[in-house]
Amino acid sequence: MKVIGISFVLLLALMGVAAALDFFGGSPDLNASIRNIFNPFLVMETIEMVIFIFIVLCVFIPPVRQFFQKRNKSKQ
Amino acid sequence: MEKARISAFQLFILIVLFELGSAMIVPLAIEAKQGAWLAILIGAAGGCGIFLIYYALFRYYPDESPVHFVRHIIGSVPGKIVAFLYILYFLYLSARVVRDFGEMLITIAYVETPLFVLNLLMVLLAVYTIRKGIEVLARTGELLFIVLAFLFLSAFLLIAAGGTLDYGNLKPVMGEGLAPIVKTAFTQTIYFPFGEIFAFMMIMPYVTDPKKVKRTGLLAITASGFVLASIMAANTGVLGVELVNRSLFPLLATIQSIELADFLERLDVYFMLAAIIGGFVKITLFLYVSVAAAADLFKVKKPSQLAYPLGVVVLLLSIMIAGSLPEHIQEGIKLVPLYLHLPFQVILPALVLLVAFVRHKGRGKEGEAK
Repeated sequence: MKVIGISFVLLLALMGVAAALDFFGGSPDLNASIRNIFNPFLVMETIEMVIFIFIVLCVFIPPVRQFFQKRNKSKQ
Repeated sequence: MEKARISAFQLFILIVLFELGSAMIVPLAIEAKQGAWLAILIGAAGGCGIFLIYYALFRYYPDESPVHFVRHIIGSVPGKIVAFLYILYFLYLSARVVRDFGEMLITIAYVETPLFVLNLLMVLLAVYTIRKGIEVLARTGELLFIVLAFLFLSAFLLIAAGGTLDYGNLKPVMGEGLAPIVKTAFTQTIYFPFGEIFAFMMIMPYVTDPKKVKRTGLLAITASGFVLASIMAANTGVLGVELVNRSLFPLLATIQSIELADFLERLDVYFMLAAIIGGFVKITLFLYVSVAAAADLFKVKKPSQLAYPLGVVVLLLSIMIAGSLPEHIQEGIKLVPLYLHLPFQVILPALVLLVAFVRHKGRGKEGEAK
């Protein structure tokens, strides 16, 4: 879970960096910059979206598996 | 930090492949026109100067990663903040390189393939290599270096023999004086690619003989400077300044111009191989450094656990950073050097070195007084 937390914090911070650079690059306001960040995901085709979701879900598999393994061990 | 050891020669190879990485495929320093090769050489000299700052820091703490020693130098909390900012910086640069190569592959080879899929393949390869460790990357670098050296030597021979090289295109070298060349060197080439060697601060503690780090680093920067200057001189000589300026990947156009003995032509594969080798090493090194630094900072027991999640972060960011290729290039030329490279490559390391110098001098005097 710690790994997911770290990745999520870093992703949020990097999204901030990307938005800030977009804003300094001539975007009309910060809201538009934030919208620009998400735009590439809105125009994805179905197969791209499927791969995207699969790749993101794969991040959660090891921590969830570890969590259940720990729980089973503690029950025993 | 993982328990690994690499030789000074492996460090040299990694630095050269890293520096060539994405720099060889773009029209580097073309604002200096015919003096582009000179701007690259000046940039390399500046890069050597920046490297000496990093080396001076490394000498104070040769066995520690920057994430550790920055906390000793400037204090725990500010040190952690600086380390966190550097992790963001390396991840951002990794995403930029992934995007560079994704866009390159779409433009020249995989026109119908989505950018996301191409980026994903490159990131997965980098994640796999990182899970294997720095020693595996160094050994892979040795193999790839031989391939790259062969490609460069044969490509230069073919260009020279093909008769497409026009030395007149390289003149006048300083048509508008030295000012535009120096300006290009100090606003672009010194940071990209030479200043990016800061990433090697995380790799230097792995070198078996720390005494050789300085010589190896300076030699590697000089060698990559000469190779990049030769590439840009060849591009300018074959295509002319105007065409290089308009071209997204001038090296590809230069290689495509090779026509020898009526059968040696369409050597695009040369470009693809060289670009993919350079791109792979650069993406992997940036991601490796981010993973190692994040594991150190957040005290993750197994750094390899972070490889895949941070790889996904880089993948998502590579899609988010720009809506289109022109926007991506504009950000890379105008904003990144000013807002990211300058503070992270020059200002912050110089300040940290200054504090380290003052502290060590103070300690030395205290020791003498006792």
